[in-house]
Amino acid sequence: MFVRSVHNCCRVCLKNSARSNAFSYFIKRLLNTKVARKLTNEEARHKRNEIFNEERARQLTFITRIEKIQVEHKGPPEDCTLIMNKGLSTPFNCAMHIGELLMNRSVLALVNGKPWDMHRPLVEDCELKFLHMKDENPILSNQAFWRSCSFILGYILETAFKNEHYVELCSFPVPNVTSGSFVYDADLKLPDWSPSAMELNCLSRVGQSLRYSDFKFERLDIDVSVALKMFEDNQFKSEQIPQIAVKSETGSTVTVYRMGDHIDISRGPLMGSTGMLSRFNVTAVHKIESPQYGPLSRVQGIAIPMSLSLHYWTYEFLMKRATKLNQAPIPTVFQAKSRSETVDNQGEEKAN
Amino acid sequence: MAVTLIGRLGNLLHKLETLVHRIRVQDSLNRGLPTLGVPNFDLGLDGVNSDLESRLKQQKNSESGSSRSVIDSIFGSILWGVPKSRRTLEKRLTRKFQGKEFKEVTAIKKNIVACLECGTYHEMHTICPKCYGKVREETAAMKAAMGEDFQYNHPRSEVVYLYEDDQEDRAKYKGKYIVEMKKPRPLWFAKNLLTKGHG
Amino acid sequence: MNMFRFPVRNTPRKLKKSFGVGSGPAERIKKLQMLVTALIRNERLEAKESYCLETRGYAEQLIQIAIRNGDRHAETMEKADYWLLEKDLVHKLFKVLVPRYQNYTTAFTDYHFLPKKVPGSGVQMGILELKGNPWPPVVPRQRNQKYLLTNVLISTAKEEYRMEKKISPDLKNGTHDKLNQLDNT
Repeated sequence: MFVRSVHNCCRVCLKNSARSNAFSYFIKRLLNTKVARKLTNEEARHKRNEIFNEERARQLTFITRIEKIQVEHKGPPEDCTLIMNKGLSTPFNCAMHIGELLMNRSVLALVNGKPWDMHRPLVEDCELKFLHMKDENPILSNQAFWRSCSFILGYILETAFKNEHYVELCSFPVPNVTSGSFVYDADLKLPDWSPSAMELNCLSRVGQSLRYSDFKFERLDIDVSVALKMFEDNQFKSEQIPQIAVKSETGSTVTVYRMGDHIDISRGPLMGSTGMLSRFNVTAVHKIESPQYGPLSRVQGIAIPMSLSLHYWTYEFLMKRATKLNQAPIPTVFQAKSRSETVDNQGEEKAN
Repeated sequence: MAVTLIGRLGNLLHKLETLVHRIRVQDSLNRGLPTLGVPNFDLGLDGVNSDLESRLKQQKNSESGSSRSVIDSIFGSILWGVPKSRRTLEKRLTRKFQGKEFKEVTAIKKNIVACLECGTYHEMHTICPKCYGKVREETAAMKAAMGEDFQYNHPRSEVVYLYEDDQEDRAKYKGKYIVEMKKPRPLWFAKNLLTKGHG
Repeated sequence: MNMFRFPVRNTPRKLKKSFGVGSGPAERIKKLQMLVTALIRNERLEAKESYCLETRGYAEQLIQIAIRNGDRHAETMEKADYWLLEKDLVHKLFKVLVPRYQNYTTAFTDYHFLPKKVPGSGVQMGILELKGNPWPPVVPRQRNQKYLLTNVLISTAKEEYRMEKKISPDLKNGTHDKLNQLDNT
């Protein structure tokens, strides 16, 4: 094939100089195609999953014998004491022991007053409470739900496009329900693309199908080095990981969540599983300009959980509002040298 | 062909007449009514009810014997409620499996919710049984605290129930019948003494 | 206008099997008298749904005519005497319930469904109560739903819509803004 092509090239270009030019041009093209062979979404995902599995297996080996912890559950349906396994039992397991009600409706758990993922293992004797969407103070549940929806947007962007079209996710801002939409900023490598209604519908359907797939959100705390290896294909994440690690408690840990096959970095607790979603819509894709990261696409969406009901007219009114550009801060690089720079006197995260 | 048909009809009419008459007679006798026009042929009671037979014969002798048309005696009896035909299997099954007792235990209910206070399951339009159980107990205690007045001589002014921690409000309720509850106010019973149900 | 606050039925409810074989309209009325008396005394009653809903009409009417006519009206006194089998309740009706319900614009009774007992006959039980009674409430307390996710989304969307209207009153968002259209014409 190579020889025939060269011959054809030579036939077309009759002069000697032209022939040699054509040849060199052809060689260059061949070389370039080999060098510019891009990473596919599937490959990147597969690699991340392998590293995740390895790390999780490694962390499990630290639990040599099963120790017991005492967990005090407070709240409906009954106050009770459970004896669970240290480092293995999750709040979801406790809910399984208590009753179906807590399994189905719980979004988050409160372990000694701290928000805790439903599938994150418990490590010491504690007081356990469950939070759901209809609490009288559902602020933590709302934030967890909104944060999980942003995470799901990342999943959609990595899976909805063709495998060959590699998408680089950048980051998502702190969840803000009052803004009316959740956000994910990414480099979609489509500078002139403005999605049509049909395309937005296709993206939304990927999210809606998650309700039936019912994926759990598995949490893993990994070291900076492992995280960097995991996200080496993503230029944005590679830059962000060291800063995220600095903000963490140990100074070198990064929290990573897996949902199905998709793995991404997120700080806060996410909801238990995607079975809670009722309606999910990707509403808009806006072009934004980040000073450090360059041109990015801001993908926005809106979603409602199963436990809350809403008339379709109202939901469509909210969808219209969610098409407007979300005023959340544009992703920037924040250079923090140590945890003290990011945490103020009360130990709370500084707004940045 | 026509002859046999007529013959058959005649037989049928005869049989109907006997049957109808037997029913009428039996019923008349049960009610103590005079029998009507006893025919000349044997009633076929065959000594089963010898008392009946003798009574009939007496009546037969005493009565003048009014002639009533065959058609009248047939159509007259259809007034009484009696199954006309056997209930089909379909109808029987319908009655069996569409009763409310059956549906209560078999039909799938999609309107079950959990009470937000205590987590007990109940149908959406009903009240929570556990929470109401507490309310029922407390109501009984309140009624008992009033004593005999409640049943026999109901007070002629609004009744106010004061718990141990509500003693400050005593001044507000002058002129009302106050009942002392000798225990602290339950946490779930909010302090809305004498508020209007609606305006 | 002193209208009835409650839709009273024209025809009696079919309670055929409720009062036993051989009972008729007289037995029904006797039973209803007992129920109305019990309701006025106890201010809360647990009974079969059909019983409760029948007594509701009679109790409401009794209280309504007592409010309308007062305790010097002969016909009203007769009716109270007939329906309230225990005579201390006649005093209660005119001295406690009439002042309580004097300015009510709504019905005086409430009906709540009790959950059906399974296994059982499938009969629906209910609670009939007079409003403003001193007992603890049957329904759960009112919860603050302001911070539910859907409510937060709606309230912020509403605020934004109103702000936009203030800025540009001719803004047509495709919503049903009939009032605005009227103002413009």
